[in-house]
Amino acid sequence: MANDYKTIVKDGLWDNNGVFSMLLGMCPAMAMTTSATNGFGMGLATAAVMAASSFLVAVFRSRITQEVRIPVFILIVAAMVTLVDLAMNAWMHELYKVLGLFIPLIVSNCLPLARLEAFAAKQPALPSLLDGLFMGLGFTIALTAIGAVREIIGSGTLFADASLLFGPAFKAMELRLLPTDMGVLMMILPPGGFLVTGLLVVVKRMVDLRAGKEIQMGGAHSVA
Amino acid sequence: MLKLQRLPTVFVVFVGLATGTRVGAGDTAMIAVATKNPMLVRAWRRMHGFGVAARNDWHRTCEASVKQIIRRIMNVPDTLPAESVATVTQTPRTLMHGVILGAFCLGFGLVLAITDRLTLADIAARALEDRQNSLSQVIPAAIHDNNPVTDTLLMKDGRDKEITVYRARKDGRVTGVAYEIYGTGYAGEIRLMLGVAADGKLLGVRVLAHKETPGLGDKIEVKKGDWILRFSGLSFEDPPPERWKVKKDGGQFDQFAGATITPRGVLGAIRSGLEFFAANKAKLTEGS
Repeated sequence: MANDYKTIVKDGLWDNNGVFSMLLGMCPAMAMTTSATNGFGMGLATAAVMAASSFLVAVFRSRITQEVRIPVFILIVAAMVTLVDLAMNAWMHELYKVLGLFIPLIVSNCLPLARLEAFAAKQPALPSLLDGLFMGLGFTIALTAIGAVREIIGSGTLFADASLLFGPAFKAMELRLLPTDMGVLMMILPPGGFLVTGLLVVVKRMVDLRAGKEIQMGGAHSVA
Repeated sequence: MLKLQRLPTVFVVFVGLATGTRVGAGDTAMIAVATKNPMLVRAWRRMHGFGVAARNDWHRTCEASVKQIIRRIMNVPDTLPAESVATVTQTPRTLMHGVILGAFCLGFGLVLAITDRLTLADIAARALEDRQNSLSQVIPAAIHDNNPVTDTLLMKDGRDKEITVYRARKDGRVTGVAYEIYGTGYAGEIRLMLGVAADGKLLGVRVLAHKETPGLGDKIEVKKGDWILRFSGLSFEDPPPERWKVKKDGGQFDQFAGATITPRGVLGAIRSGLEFFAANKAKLTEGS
């Protein structure tokens, strides 16, 4: 069983990474990653929603009939998203002002739905919770990486505005790597999202190839 | 006689027939399970082969009566043998799916309603703080001793859109007003807060929300550039209304590198905001 959990963690974070291997959730992966901070925040919010909804689906899996499973899954994801949205607005308002716009978009992300269908609908509660959590964290890593590359090349900074997201203690994280106005603006605009995401997918596969791993071809059902 | 416990069962069948859904006796049996009608539950389990074989007379009685009920409900003539009742119970459980979906909707709807209740007051408080923050940026603390957030006036602007005017007063006299203005930017609407002193001079302009390109158009935000600060102290007297444009359009304000549409949108908003003030000056500064 311990081995199983290890596989879940490894799959979520690297081997079957939602963005770089399964190529799911590309919309937030490209639209939300104009900076590393944005990508990180969006990733964390998605991870929270994925963990909660995977857990709930696994708990209720015997009650959900095959015919209505998709609407029920979407209902659960949407309910979790609304919950996070309301709670953050009320109790983490500063964070909400930065991320608030993007939280409702998690509903339309296909990664949570894919994991519910491929994993949580068939597995017990605890593994499902872990799968949701680590798939979400893998998503966070991917978004932060894309955001970091785009931000460094595009505006010459790294983790700008991190203090808005995590509090003043993280001011030290905000780096300026290139002088102002040195940035290649295109990297922050939509084409940069496509370029960087594509290149990072290539990098990930090259690392896997070098390690002698079999390339996992994309697909939500490849693990489960 | 119709027992009260059977009402849900009957109701489901009625709804099913009325809406043309194919209701199986399986559905009725499930509803019976759900409503914890013990007799129906046991008999249903028996009929579906989940329970043990009939152990005593009471079991047999139950089984017989549930078959009787299903016969009635499903209109199976008494002359048909018991097997056809069993066939009826095999019909697809279409309605069950609806019931499951409905139950989930109800459950999560309830959770959301409770969360909404819990967060309502806090969210309203945060929204008020936000408004206070944006107001304090365009109305200097020195010119008022009241709370502008609560001293409001509802008015219609030039586009017949309802706007809330916040009034700053000192010793009861209106010293300045602030209201939201809207401009059309490169990527949608730009919302700004405009503060005007009673004499028509701008106290300040701040962007509340926009969707402009990061790195280009977002220099209108005060934390990304000082462009927006240049308007304080200006009015329609200096410069005259026709000069409230970007240089490219023959006005006197700089656009910034790579972005003309965004500043044009902001200037358009300010111009219409000042026009609104000029047209409604008497009403806005009433009691000053």
